Amino acid sequence: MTNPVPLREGLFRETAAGPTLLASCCTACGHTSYPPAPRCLDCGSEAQEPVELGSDGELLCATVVHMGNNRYPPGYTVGYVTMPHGVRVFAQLAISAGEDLPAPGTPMTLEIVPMWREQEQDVLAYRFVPAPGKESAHA
Amino acid sequence: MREVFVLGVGQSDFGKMPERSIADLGGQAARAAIADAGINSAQIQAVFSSRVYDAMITSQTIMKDLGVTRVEMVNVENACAGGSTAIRSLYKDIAAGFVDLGIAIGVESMTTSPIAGKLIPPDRDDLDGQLGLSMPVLFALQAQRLMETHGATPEDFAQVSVKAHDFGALNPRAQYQRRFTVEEVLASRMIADPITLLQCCPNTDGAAAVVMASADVAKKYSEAPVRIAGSALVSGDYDFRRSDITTLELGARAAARAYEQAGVAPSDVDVVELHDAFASEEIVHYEDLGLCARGDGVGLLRSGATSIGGRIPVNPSGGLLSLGHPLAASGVRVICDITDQLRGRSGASQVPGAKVGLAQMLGGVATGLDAAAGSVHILTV
Repeated sequence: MTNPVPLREGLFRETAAGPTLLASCCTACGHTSYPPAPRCLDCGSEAQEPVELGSDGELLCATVVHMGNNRYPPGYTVGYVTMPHGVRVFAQLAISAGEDLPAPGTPMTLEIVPMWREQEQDVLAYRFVPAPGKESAHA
Repeated sequence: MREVFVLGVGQSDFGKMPERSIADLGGQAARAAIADAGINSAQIQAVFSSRVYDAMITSQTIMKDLGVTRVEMVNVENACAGGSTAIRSLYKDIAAGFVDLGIAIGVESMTTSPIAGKLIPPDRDDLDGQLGLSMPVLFALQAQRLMETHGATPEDFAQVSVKAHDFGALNPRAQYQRRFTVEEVLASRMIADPITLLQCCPNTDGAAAVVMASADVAKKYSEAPVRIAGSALVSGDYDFRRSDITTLELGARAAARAYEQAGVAPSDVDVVELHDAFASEEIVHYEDLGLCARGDGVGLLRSGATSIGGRIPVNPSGGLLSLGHPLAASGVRVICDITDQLRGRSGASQVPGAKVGLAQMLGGVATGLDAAAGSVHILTV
């Protein structure tokens, strides 16, 4: 059994406080980029420092996809989640088949899971789970 | 900068025709455009062609069967806006005086492409694509947001498809020449909630071609050539710069540039052809093109203004939804349909007295951008 590999390096990690997305914050203009950028996408400054977005977000919108797509069988759910610093992230949502789509504004929490297998290795990626009881981090 | 005119337009059959080659489809469209222009193919000084899938030397592959060799030929790709990019590229060469007469071609064989029968994905290494994004998913999420922010309903989205098929039933070149009810559109198979099958453009093979010329050449061949009064091609901007996903900012920016160059206002436009790969996006384009105020897209649809006999008919060809969408051909095909409208040659779909027409096409998605390429052309007589 080999170790799982991340979808790509530098996007996310597990911490003692839970999983987090990894972003960059521009010390010149304050813009936050996800995925992290070596150069600010807004003002062009190279003064970037790493920042953790944490795991709490809020659902902007979601859809159930009824056609299979590459590695995902029919019936998977995806959406946009708004994270701290206003970062909009596209991701899979962990919703069981038959379960209603979560409403816009639903608090969501990040998890890091094996998303598919490739060359006999699990590939790790992130998805969001509805966390209705949880206060949204930036609301 | 010199004025540029459309001299002739042509379209191949549209449909599922895996037995027909790129040279065959493109040649049919090119021959029709050359005949329509009344020129001899030997006069062509430049060829710009576009194709998305398995593309290599598309211009040469088509033109060698038409007796056109030795001239400058360029092959471009810009996802669904590739055809618009071919038009724009030839426009610039004629406007700048490099050539006086040329042809722009868009062609696609979707049934023989690697994505035949699949959801159209972003680039293989695109992050959002790896996480499950595809074209219908992108537009389904936008439609979800339109329901939240604009009060749009699934019936509104279905109505866009009903309208397209009402028009398409009048167009002998449409892949699907039949009408549907709102109920039938809603009852078709769900693809990505709320988008059902009949709100998605079909996979289509086909080609379109446009012969363009400088004023000196155009006046020799036509008493009333159609002028390209405005031409714009822009790339997308960062997604974080738009406040919400209910606009495709690059489409608004391309429109603003084309309106300014043409010296016309949205209220001057008589007829529009635009990218309706998925029914719901048409409502966003109404707002981005300035056909109504921001936030009033649903109201414009419900008013009937964009339907048959309305104030500003949108996609009287039947649009991608009923004509079909051979990706790179569509950006050329919208120029063909607007030209026909301005020449009064659109038969049962003719918008009476049309003098100003707008052809829009968008293409491509990549993580972090609102979209990849947006083009607007304004044609006048």
